[in-house]
Formats: sequence, C-alpha cells, structure tokens
Amino acid sequence: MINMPLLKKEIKSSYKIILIFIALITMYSTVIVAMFDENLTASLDMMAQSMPELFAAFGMNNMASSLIEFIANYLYGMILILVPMICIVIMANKLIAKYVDSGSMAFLLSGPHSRKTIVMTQITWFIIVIAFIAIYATCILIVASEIFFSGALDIPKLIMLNVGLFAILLLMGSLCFLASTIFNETRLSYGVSSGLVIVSILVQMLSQVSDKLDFLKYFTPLTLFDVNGILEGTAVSNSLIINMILASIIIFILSSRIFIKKDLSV
Amino acid sequence: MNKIEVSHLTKDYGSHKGVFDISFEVSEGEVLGFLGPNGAGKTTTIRQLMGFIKPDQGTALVKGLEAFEQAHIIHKTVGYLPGEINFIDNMNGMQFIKFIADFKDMKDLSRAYELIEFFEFNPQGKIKKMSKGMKQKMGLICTFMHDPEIYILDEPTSGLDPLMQNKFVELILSEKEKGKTIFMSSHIFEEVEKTCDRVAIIKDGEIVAIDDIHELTKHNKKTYKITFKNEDDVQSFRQFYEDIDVNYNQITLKTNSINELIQLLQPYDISDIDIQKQSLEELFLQFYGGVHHD
Repeated sequence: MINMPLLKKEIKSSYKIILIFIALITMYSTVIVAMFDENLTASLDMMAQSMPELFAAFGMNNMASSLIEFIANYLYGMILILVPMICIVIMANKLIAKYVDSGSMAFLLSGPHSRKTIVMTQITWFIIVIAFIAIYATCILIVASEIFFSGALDIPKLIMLNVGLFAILLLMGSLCFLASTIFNETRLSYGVSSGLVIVSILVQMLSQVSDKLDFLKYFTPLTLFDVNGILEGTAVSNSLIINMILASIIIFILSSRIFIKKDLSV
Repeated sequence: MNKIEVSHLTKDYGSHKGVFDISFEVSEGEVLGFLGPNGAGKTTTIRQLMGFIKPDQGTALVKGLEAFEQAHIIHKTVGYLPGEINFIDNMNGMQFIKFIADFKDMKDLSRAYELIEFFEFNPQGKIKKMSKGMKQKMGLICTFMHDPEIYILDEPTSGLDPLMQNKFVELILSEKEKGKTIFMSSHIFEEVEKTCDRVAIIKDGEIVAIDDIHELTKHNKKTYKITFKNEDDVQSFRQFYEDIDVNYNQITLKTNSINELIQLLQPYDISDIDIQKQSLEELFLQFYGGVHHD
C-alpha cells in the first residue's frame, strides 16, 4: 500500500523544514505561556477593551481567567493555525506538484509501483506530519505550563483543543493536497493553496471584528474549529471535529483519484 | 511474440499537435529506432507506452498488458530513460542511484557499479551542479542497472560527447546480444543506423515509414562538398553528375555510391573534400519519391 523507500526519502528531504516550524511553535508557545500572569491578564484585558476590534480580529476576544483560556485565546485564535499552515502548504506542494512540475515524477512513475502506492505514501507522510505538529504543540504547552505554572493547566481540555487543531489543519491540508494533485505547475498549486489559507484567515479575522461582519464566518473553513465550544465541551464542537476529519478523508480520496487518473506529461 | 504493440494510437492536443492513428510493433529481441524531428510526437508516443498519459483512441500494449492501467506491472521489467532528465535535487549522484535502486526493489547494486565505471561517471557530485552530459549518464545508469527485458529510451544520447555516444552504442549492442527488446527515439539518423534493426519514422504525429534499416541506408545519399585546386577542373568534372552545384572552385553533389565518386575524382587535384550528414528532413524527401529539397 505504501512504499518504504519513498517514505524514507520524503522524511529525509523534509525534516529540516519541519524542524524550523517546530522551533517557531516552541518559541511562540513558551512565550505565550510564560506571559500568563493575573496582573498581565488584567492589563491585556484593558488593552483589549481600548481596541476591541483589533484584538477580536486575532481571535483574542475573551477575558481569559484561567491558563487554558489564556492559551486558547492567544495561541489557538491565530498563531497555532497560521504557523503550521505555512508548513502544510509547503509540504503539500512538495509531495506531488513539485515532482510533476520539475519532471522528476517520471522516475517515480517509471518504477514498479502503482500511482496509488505513490500517492498513498505521500498522503501517509503528510498526515503523519500534521499529526506530529498537533501532538508536539500539545506536549510543548504541557511542558511549558508545568515549568512556569505547575498544576495550573487543564490538560484534558488542551488535548481536546489539539484534536480540534489537528482536524482543522487536516482539513486545510487536504485542500492544499488537492490543489497539488490538480495543478501540474507549482506556480498554480502554490498560488491556490496559499491563497486559500490567506483568504480563510483574512475572512475569519473580518468576521470577528464586528457583529455586522459576523455572517462572513460562513465563508471560511476556520470557523469549523470552534475554540470556545471545545473549551465548553459542547456536542456541536465535537461533531464539527468528526465532520472535519471525515471531509478531509473524502478530499484525500478525491485527490488520489485525480492523481491516479490524470495525464502526467513528465 | 511482440513485446510492444501500438495500434491506431491517437492523442490529440489540438492544432495538429500530438500523435494520430499510429501503429507499430516491436518483437522480442528487436531494436526499433523511432526517428523524427523535434515536436513530431516521439515523446508523446513514449509517454503513452509508459502509461504517463492516456490515449484518446487506440491501444498501447507492452508485453500484452495495457500501458496505462497496468503500468506498475509492466514497469517491473522495463528500463525507461526520460527525454528530459530531472532528478530530485539535494541529493548527490550516488544517493539518487541508491534511492532509485531501493525504489525498484533492487537488492544487488553490482550492475550499477559496472555501469558507473563503464560511463566513467563520478557519482559523488551534487545533482544540482551536474552538467547535461553527467545527468544523461546518470539517467542511463538508472535505466540499465536493474537489467530489465525491455528498454524504452527517449533520445538516449542527447548531451553525451562523441566518445560517450560510442560507449552508448556499445552498450545497446551488448544488450541486444542478450536478447533485450529496445525501443529508442532519436532525431539523429547515424545513431539509429548503428544500433537498430528497423526504423519507424514519425512526422507531424504520423508514422510515415517503417522499414528495415538497410533499406533506409540504401536510400541515404550523402552530400559531398569537393574543393578543386584548379577552377578549370570544375568545368570538366561537372559533366559526370546531373545534380551538381558549382561555386567557383567548389562543387556540391549528392550520391550514394562513394566508390564511383572516388574513381571519378582520381585524375583531379583536390584540395579538400567534405562529407555532410543528411538531415532527417532531407532523408524523408529522398525516401519518398526522390524530390530534392535545398
């Protein structure tokens, strides 16, 4: 079903990129956790009250009283979506479109493995990377919280937040992967996938700024990652997570069908 | 048994680009040359044989299997050399060769080392820094190292220097000896002449001839440019040939009988003789009705 030499090759050629993003996540997560402090929260709240639109745009619209709320507010509203998404856009394009565009796909296609095996190998590695990012974010936040504020973090809620994070990254990732299989030129596949990410984020920011723009939330997939719902543990937020994962699976299957059927002039 | 069988294959890219209703076959142990100018449809045909693209109409069979649907089964015993070689960057030559060997489920690298030595290739350099010829050598090593039954080669000598081109011919002849089936495209007649049993000629997406190589060579008139020391000699020599161009003390003529020419030239004082290779275009025109084209 998957090809080990190809998987090994992908790991070797992408671990450096992943490490860079892991370093960024480590830095942001630690800094935000370290910033948590009752007094600072109060002053941040004051700042938020003085310019509520700006704070709301970045998803920081709740008065955080506990560490988990603080983390959810300041990390899961923007940074932990944006930073991994850049990594995911790069990975998605590297896994298929780059091979096709450069012509090196010819070497993979002329080997004794079916296109299905090739695309399944790439999807497997892609999902591993996304899962790794979500798991790593969970771990680093737990470690940082234990170092700075031992015992203050609601760990089960953090895990649920990261299951949600995994689901939304997987959904966005599957769309980027779809673009990577549709377009033969990286120029186009990069354009579409990074455009999708940028537009989704901008629309979400706008929708949070004012009630009048609230309807915009129906135009971005990021709305499906319901941070507040997850913190409250609502049934809706859980079913959203399941639906995001199901949708991603369908999109991945669709992408592999496209890759298996299409003409590849390499 | 036919190892490769193409019948009524059509792939239309519009504005008369692509291939149209082409049919040919390559039998076991045969070397078929696939000649045609750039853009004639050679690579399009090969891509269909490799199952990279689907034919609009007709079929491409390799070992009796449908080329697109059963590509991975066919590729177990096929060595393919792409026309444009692009490797995965950020590897050195040896890393790439090892990766391809792993990917092809090869256990034994001894043939790869033999070929590295044969082509005098240095596999330690970074792929990014390699010249066209070096990349071509590496492509050839990757194609031949798993000792397949069938070779499908797209312009295999492009970028190679004359010395390496000869080595390539040597390699093809030794593989032929082993009973391998070879299908190779080219736009250079001489290259095909040395290696192939039969030649298919493609032009504007259509096969215009498939013939025994000896038949084609018989028709392959060469152009000779002869410079006489004495301008007066030109006047007396020009009577021997009907189709002859004169330019001061230089004449240009076409013939397929070199012996006759040498005998005729014997009494004259010659300062230079230049043999020109015929372009493929000229070859077609000569082959079909002897129409001259200058």
